[in-house]
Amino acid sequence: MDTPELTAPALALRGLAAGYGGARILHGLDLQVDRGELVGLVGPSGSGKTTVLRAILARADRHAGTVEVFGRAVERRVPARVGYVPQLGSVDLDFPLTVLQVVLLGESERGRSRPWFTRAERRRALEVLDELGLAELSSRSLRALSGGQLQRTFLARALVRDARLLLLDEPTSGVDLATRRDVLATVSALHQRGLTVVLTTHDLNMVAAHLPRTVCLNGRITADGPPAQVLTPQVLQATYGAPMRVIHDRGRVVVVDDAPLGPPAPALVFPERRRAS
Amino acid sequence: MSELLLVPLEYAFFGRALLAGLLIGAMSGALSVFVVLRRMSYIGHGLAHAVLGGVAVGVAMGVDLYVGAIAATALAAVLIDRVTRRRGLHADAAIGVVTTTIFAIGVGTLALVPTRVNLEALLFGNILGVNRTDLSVAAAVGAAFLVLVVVRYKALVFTTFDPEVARVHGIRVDRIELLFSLLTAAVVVASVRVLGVLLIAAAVVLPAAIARLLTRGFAAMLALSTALGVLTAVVGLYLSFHVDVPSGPTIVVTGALLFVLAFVGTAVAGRLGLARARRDARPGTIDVDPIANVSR
Ligand SMILES: Nc1ncnc2c1ncn2[C@@H]1O[C@H](COP(=O)(O)OP(=O)(O)OP(=O)(O)O)[C@@H](O)[C@H]1O
Ligand SMILES: [Mg+2]
Repeated sequence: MDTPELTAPALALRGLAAGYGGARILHGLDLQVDRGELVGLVGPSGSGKTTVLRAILARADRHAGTVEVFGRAVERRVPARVGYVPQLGSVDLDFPLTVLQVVLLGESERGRSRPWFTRAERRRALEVLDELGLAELSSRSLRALSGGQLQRTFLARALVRDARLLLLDEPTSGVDLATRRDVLATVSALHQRGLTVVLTTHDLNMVAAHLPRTVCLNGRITADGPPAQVLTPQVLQATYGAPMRVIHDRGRVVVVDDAPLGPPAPALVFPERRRAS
Repeated sequence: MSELLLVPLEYAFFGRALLAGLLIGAMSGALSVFVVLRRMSYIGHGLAHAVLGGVAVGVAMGVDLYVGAIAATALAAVLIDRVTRRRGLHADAAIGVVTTTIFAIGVGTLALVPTRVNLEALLFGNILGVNRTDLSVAAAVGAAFLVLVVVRYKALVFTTFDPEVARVHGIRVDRIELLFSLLTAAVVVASVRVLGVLLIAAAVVLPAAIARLLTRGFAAMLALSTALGVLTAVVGLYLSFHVDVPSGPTIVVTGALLFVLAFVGTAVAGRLGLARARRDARPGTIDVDPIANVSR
């Protein structure tokens, strides 16, 4: 059978213009993400990274263009087989649910009018928790988790839905370096299992070191390709409107903020911005 | 002792009130969990004021008390839902705008059209007035409430916890939110006779507030909150009978006393736990699991 769902790219944006109400945030985006790709979306605060993810989920107002997920046009309904992990901070961590219960909620769709979860559903949730190294934490409350464990919990909730395309909004923001590695290792393991991942980040050096493809965004797409080609002073100037230096170090690039005050420490040159909202 | 419990039952009105109280207590107890976790504690207060507006207009137009009440709260629930969706406005603003307007229309109507409404009974609840219609309304609302909460349980929990992701998982979040508003409106209408307009707000907050202090899981919180709703209603109704005070105040004060007990009790338990941890943490014996300190 040659249905579009089997051959189409995981994600295709064509001439997408979108925003909120009459305010346009995204201007004419063309982006294709094939199955099994791992893409990092970068850009300054307010450049529309979250809005791109929300447009894919039919949450932003579309002004023009099309969005297709696995070959199906996205109109008002959220496409199937998509997992979404919003930026941390939008939910109440004191909500009376355990890690396992949060993940089980991800399976609400199937037995939607049955108020309990079946044994098979529980087994499945525990399997996913186990895969993500959370088996021991399944009865913890969210408040008792570290940032990385919390991210993995929400990843697990997306995965129990059999998501094939994962949309992750700043999964490595506001965490320490070890947690960042923890989250990235998880994402990369999922990618190796064949999942398609689109994530947003402020961390250009993380993108350069770990992601095969970078898309630079500033209302429009300013560059798209492997980080070593995309992360150039010209592109960065166009994306961020600020001068940045790019150092080539053993085959990979390191982006440094071209501050006049002495040489920056290479490992911490682009600290993640603390978001106001 | 048993006389205190049995004598009131010799009066038919008290039997009806008790039955209505059980139903209303269970519903408002269960509902309060969602109200508290969604931080919409004033929705009960607002909708109850809309009831008053609706009753006033209804009585002035010569229709049944319930017709006005149902029409006004349903309208208020839908309007609150609409206004909340507008970006920049939250539920609290929507509740304030919509329900106060309906209340004002009702108060104005009462001034213009002379009617014989027992305002005190409406404001504070009156078990003497519980009739068959009240009981039927409570039973009908109770049945619908039970079915809808059971059938939409997962969606209600998911939407309350994380509406953005719930939507991605195929839940019609908009509909669930409207359903929640309408359920609240129905519970408020059914509760007016026993609780009174001014005291409903407490009944859809107190049980969950107590349960929140005493439980950790969602299901446990829901069960305890429902039980507490029933308990406070029953105790409050007996109190109302024996001390001859309107039922609304006695039910709310009973709930408030339980809240104080739970609040002080959990505070003392927390202090004792801290003291024990400090005693156990003598030099050389420290073995603190950092996570255990964070969780409650
Ligand atoms: N719900 C909303 N309604 C109206 N405007 C919005 C909304 N969400 C975001 N915006 C606006 O859209 C623009 C893009 O926001 P978006 O959140 O997509 O940026 P971002 O690249 O994700 O930024 P950050 O890095 O800070 O997360 C911003 O100017 C923001 O103010
Ligand atoms: Mg963002």
